[in-house]
Amino acid sequence: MKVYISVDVEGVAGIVDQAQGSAPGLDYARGRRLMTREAAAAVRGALAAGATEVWVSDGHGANGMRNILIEDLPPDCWLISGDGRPMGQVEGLDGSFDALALVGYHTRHGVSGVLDHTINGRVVYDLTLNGQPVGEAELNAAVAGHLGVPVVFVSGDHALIREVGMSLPWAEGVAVKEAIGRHASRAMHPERACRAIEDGVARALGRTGQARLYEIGTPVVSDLTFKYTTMADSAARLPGAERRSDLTIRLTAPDAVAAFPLIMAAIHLGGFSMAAPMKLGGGGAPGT
Amino acid sequence: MKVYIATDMEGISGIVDRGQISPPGLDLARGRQFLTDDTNAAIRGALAAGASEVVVSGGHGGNGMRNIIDERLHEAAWLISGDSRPSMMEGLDGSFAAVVLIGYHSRHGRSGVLDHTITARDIYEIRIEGRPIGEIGLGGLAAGRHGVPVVLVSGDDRLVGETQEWFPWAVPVVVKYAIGRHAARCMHPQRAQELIERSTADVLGRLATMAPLVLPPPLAVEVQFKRTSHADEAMRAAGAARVDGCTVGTSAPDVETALQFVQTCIKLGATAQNAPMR
Repeated sequence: MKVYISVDVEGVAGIVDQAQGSAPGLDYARGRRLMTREAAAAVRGALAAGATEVWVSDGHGANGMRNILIEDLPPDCWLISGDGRPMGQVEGLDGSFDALALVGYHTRHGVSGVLDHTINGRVVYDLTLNGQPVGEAELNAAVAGHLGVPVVFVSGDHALIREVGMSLPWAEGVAVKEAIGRHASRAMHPERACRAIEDGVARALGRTGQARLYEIGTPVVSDLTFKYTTMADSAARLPGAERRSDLTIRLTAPDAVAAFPLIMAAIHLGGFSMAAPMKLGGGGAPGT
Repeated sequence: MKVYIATDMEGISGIVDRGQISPPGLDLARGRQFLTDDTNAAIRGALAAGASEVVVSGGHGGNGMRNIIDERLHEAAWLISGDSRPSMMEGLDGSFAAVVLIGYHSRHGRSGVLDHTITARDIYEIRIEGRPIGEIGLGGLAAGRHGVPVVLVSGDDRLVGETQEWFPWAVPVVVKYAIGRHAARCMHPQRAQELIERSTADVLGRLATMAPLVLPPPLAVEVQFKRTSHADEAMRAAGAARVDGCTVGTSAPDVETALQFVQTCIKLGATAQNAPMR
């Protein structure tokens, strides 16, 4: 059994702020250790369930997607580290995998939860695939679904577990904290969170037969709404991009796997268009 | 049996970015530990194969070639540390039986983790007898002139082709699979160390199948820079001729002169104005 574990930081127990998830944040050293421990717990759960090959993907954008401390993972796994990967948080996933687990994930932008955002908190206001609003969990699930791999496990705050309860109802959901606001939560102790994740992953992998594929149909029409018109101006230059409104572009691809790099390219282009968030007075735009 | 272990950092598992190998990188301390651990694995392998003396060269240029953590290195080894030495292969001579290359990387322009040739900022390509050559090839030539074979090369999967190109007899040890210049699927350090130790012990047990890298003189050498200003400065090297705007070359009577020419050109080129546009 091959298992792919994609790990983000915002949904890790104890994390409530950007300063814990990004360098040079005061608590970044602690944040990445908490993230590493939850990743390690998921690996142990997978191995206990009989996984013969486990890939961990460092899926958090800060520090060039080099947050997980490989030396603190169990030895029997591979770590995908570093940025510039075409398939981002699920780089290297293919049909040979039996299951995908999402650890430390968060709600999509606009859905109240700890550090809610979609891919880039400074840039993206909303993303839909074939009319369905999606966050990172669903976007990766759609890619995996096209490849024939089900999402079997999701951990994060209770708001995320509610979100994926509707989109991925077959997945084992483990809430390691309860969001109070975007930057506050009531969190489980990290030790208990890790036990819950280890047990949850093992449980989920014991009943992969019940998991389903997240399928959004083909072709895939992605509507990407930005926070600023200048971002949409830039992203609209992508070949094939269609301007739907002042803030929204549409990208069409044959399937989710083909849609993914297009969406990423549009977000990159949009992000580069405005390095400084506000040019006329005021403070910066909030971002993650 | 004397074994020379030359080390670099870009090909160590867990390393995918400059921030892990150069000051003031956030993760330099971790990168140095990974380097030291992989080096220790090679030392253990050499000792298991019966090595009576092991010399390690800290060859990575960042931090003044002082990256291996001396006090955590296996006590049986000698460490060559610090810069202002002619090459990454300092102190190598004909008394050694084998060279092991740990943590190496692809030459500049070949997709792989942190591909470059000696200095990423300045060098576009180095050619010997018209063949593009990277750091493993240059190290192999430096060893070959003393009759010493390169027997093992550790790094990412993209380095295997380059290894086979120069040392078809050597063992490539793959500790990570490159996804891009700054991303890879990494083997766990513990597993990488086990693999390096086992492979080193194994290859040193069959030295008869190894061969030194020898090219017959004279050698046509070309150093192609990224900017014409680098080549302008490199023209001060003895015997330098301008091949084209970015390239200087020479005909070297032997490998030692060829390698000296490359080093001198690079040092001179680095003195050029490096601000891209004035």
